[in-house]
Amino acid sequence: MADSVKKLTKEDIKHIAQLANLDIDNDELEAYSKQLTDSLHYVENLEDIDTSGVPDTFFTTHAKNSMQEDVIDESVTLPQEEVLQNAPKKRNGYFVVKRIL
Amino acid sequence: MDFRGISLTELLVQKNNPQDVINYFYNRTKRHNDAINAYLYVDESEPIAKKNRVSSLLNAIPLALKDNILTKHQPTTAASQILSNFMSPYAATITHKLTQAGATILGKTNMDAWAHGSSTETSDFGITTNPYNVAFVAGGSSGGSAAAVAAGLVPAAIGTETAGSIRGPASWSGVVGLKPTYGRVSRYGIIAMGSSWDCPGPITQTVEDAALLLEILAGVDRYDATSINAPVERYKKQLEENKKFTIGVADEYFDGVDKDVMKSVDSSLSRLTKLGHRIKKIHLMHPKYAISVYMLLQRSEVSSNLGRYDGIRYGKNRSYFGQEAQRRIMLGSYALSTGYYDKYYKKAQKVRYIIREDFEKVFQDVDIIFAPTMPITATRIGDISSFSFYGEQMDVLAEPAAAAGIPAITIPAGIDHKGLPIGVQFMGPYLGESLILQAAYQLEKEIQFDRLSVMKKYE
Amino acid sequence: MNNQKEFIPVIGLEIHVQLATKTKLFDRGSADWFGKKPNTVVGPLALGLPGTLPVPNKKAIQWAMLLGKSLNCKINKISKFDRKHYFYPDLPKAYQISQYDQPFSYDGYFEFISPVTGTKKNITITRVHLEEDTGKLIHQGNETLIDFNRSGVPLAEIVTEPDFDNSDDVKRFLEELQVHVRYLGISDADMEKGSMRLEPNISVRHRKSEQKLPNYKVEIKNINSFRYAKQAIEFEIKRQEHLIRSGETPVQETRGYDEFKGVTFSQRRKEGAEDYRYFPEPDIPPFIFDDDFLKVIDDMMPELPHERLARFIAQGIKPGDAYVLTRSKSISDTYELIIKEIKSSVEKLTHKSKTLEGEIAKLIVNKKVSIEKDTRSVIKEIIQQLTPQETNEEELIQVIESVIETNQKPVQDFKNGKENSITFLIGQVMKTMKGKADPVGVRKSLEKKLTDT
Repeated sequence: MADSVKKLTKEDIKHIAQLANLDIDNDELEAYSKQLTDSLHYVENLEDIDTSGVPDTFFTTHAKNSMQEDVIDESVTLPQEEVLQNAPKKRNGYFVVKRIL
Repeated sequence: MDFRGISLTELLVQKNNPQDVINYFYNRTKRHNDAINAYLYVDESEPIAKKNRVSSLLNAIPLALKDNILTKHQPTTAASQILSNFMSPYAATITHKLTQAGATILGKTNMDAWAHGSSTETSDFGITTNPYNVAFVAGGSSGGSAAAVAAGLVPAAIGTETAGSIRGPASWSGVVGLKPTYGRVSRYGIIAMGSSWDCPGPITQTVEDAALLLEILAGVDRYDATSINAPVERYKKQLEENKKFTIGVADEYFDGVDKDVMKSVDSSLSRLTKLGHRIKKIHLMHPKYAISVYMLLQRSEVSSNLGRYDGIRYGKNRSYFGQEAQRRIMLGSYALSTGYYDKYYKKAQKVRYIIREDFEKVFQDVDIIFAPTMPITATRIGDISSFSFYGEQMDVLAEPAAAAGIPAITIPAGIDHKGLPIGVQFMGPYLGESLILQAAYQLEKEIQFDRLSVMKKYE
Repeated sequence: MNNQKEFIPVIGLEIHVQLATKTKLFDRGSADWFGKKPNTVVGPLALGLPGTLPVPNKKAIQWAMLLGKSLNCKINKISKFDRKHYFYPDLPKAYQISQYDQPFSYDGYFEFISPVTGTKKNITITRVHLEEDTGKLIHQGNETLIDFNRSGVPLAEIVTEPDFDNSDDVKRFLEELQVHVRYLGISDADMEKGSMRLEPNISVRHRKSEQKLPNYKVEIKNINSFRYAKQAIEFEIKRQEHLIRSGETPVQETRGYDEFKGVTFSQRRKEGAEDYRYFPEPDIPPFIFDDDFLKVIDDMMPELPHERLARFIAQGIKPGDAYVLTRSKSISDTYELIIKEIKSSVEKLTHKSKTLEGEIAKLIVNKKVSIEKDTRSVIKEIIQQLTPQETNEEELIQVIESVIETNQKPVQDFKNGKENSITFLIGQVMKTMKGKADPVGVRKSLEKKLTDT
């Protein structure tokens, strides 16, 4: 099958990075676009495999219908100090961040 | 007292003073960790053995846990700067199980940051070197656990495998590594990498030790909805059953495999025949497709699982992600994005279904499958940069079993011309740990791999 | 009417109902978050800590399916959860576990009487699915505070087709839906408390347009009451009509509602549509519901408001009274208890309504008895009111005179033409007479007394 992968541009990388909430340095854009494009080229080999007739969703687990009764497990809720213990910025029991617009 | 090279099982039989054992391995670790960098954190408080643990199953014996396994009394960092000062307020289910069974957590071991890799070179806290030769990598992502066991710094350790992260480093460091059936061991409290792939498992000196630890680790967990509600077998006792199997061997798994590795594969097959097993030629889908499946699905799940690291509730902000993490997050986001989901994520899921079906078909004809664990032996430190996706490329022979969610075990089978260990693996059907453990146990006895010499390099 | 207007609004609704389960949707920590100190009702999963895994709440699933079934939906026997990705500080995992293409129920309908046309209106329910709630943000100066107590609480989301074309229908629909949900006993469905939330999607089309559905829609958030819902929708319709008349197409976006200024405002956080990158939640195995499971849901179905309404009317209660009475399940439950008790007692009771049931219903609806009191007391009050009264005429005259003397202002007001002031005086007489008088007679006597002097 013809390789239909177009090269990812620096703009593409910028857009993907925004989607992923990542800040990529400008000098890394070129390298990433090459590496990601290489990966996409490799996975083209999947087009060799006929998947018609295969179900749409796949779960690795063989478990089904995992549900639990609505009963409180006291060990789940953490004391407020533990909830906040790793917070870089906190005040009066809240997590604090710069104002969200 | 020299406890080097004595298996976990043997140590328990010996009924040593627990404090002696703990002190021994604690001191060894302190002496040699700088050279190998197997541990990220050594627990200074644990060496004072908790007296009331002495009579339980594991007799306070020290174990090391890979640093993506949450513990309450030691930090958990996933070898990333982002979590460099993270203390979890809750512990993983397997941590509970091990400590309830009487284990002492000696420390947390090094890994590729976020488990993204096959060499422990992407750790933010330094590379773990191969105890056989420090110019080479120990393998990854559970490199620290494998190196610690190989160098005799701890009798046994726990790692995790997404696709190759237990078997790879175990193979390259010359120790035993078991990836259980997906869902056999709870993932609760394991920092998630590939949610539908991750399996915690033992990294040990012997197959018997792996069976012993599997019995402790395995079982359904109410905190993990994907865990399997199936009885935990007496894996250790079953080793004595000495069953004989029909063992499948597929040429597809020899494609591109190093000459020295093939020599060990061939000699292992001879041994297995001598032991009374029947070797049968089979055909399996070429593992190269599993690379694509794994790359797309794992990276998609990674992009999702790493979204929570924003530095608000804990840890540092996302600018502290290393390049490998950034690469994987981006490819994963792309594969899930509108317009690309069908071609990448969905297609990969469908091929994954076919890979599983392929194994299920084959297991109707054979009991277990035998293959080399890795196509080559440990790479030199730094070689990683000449590969576009090193991790996925190295783990090619491990990815199919991981994709199918079936169990697999690697044991050391020889040494190559560079003096580096070679590993061979058995893959089993769903919940077929007993079969592969038995076969590995029998082969291990025949091979009589020398695990003590490398430990002697570290006085 | 609409067919004379230039534009026709096209409105669809997304309603979130917070389920009153004891534990959260994906962990067994307490879900009792409202009014609690910040970050005191949070566990590792709701906090988005590393290594956590979701385990579904069976009751939440049953209630979501019950809600769907009660709205005449089809049930998906095969279902799953999916991850919906976006970054926002109140979403700890950076994805919300929700349902994408296989919701628990879909394709139903809900009927109500439109206050505009007076006839039945049928709204198609596209789907009812389950998802987890987010934390809460509090903006303070140049900082934002975050509380994760609410994170992980179960929400049932009801989505309707864009079948509405005016705000009055929407308001009535919401009121009826609220009663309906409360009857199911799955939520207190309180808009002020946030246990029922509305996000209308609004667009507007030309009456003569060929396209039934405009090519844009605007979503409105932060609506905290039925009254504000009506106001917000009306404002937004006018805003869009104005834009379209000027030749512009309204931007497809999410807007907030400012209840103080009475306007909607743009809330665009970033350019371009959100790409949620949905994929099936790998941590939660799929569901294959068998008939036994579905039967349990059927058995949970209570009598629904429209069914009770019909039943009450058949008992001889005036339709208007029956409607008011059935707005509250607990009050109408109490009413039924009272009826049972009274009917089995020997008291001879009078009633002006067609049936005793109708009379008692009228008393309750007109607040002639204190229904909030315990059942014994209410029954006593009713019996008292419906037992023919022997009025002590002499005492009555004295009481009337005394009430007139001690309440000069209302008396003056009445004499000055404020007719309603007599109601107060009647009340005072009745109070003093401890109900042992006929209000109609008291009114006549008072009127006579006041106009005579």
